[in-house]
Amino acid sequence: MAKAEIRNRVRELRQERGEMTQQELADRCDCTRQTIIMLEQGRYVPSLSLALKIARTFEKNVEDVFVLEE
Amino acid sequence: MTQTQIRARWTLYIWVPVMFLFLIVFVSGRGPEGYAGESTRHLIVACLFLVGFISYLTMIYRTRLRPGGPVKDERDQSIEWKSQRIAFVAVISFVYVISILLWIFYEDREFVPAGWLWFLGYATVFFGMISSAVAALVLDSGTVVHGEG
Repeated sequence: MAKAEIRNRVRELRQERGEMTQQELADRCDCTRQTIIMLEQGRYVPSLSLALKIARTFEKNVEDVFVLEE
Repeated sequence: MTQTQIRARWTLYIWVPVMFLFLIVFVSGRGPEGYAGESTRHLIVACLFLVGFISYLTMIYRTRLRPGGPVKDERDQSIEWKSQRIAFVAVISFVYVISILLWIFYEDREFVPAGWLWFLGYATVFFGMISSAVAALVLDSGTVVHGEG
């Protein structure tokens, strides 16, 4: 069974927020900066709870931040 | 650096030298076949192992999660679980391969010198520690990791 690819718009949304750094986003979502870096590079697929925290930080729905590509 | 990265690196810094020193002691003198009967080499290896273990436990204590200390999140947790699973399979394979090699080598003599059992015991610990740390560093550096939960 092929694993679905999950893309995200974290970097784009962070840049839309002007000065929000990776560290600030990490602090708001209770994760490390390394996780945000890997997430933005597409090398980490977050758990549901982290995905929800990130979406809430950007005041978006999860589907607006994470896109399932089949 | 996260707690997982720090611990993986220190695990290598501690156990790789201990493993090499162990190998040197193990093959020196009368070699593996004479190891079981030589108390001096037993003592040296036991001391090496003790130093390694005390260093390891000290490192674990000093890298504990605390305010201002190392950080850790779900990605690190996921990497640790995966690296431990990889290490488990690696250790099983290691014991299997060594056992088969010993059987092939000593098949004609119909017995295996007891020194090799000491080797298997110590080497399994070293191999488990090192393979887990290497797996954690490899997973951390580039592989796509999926969060769990």
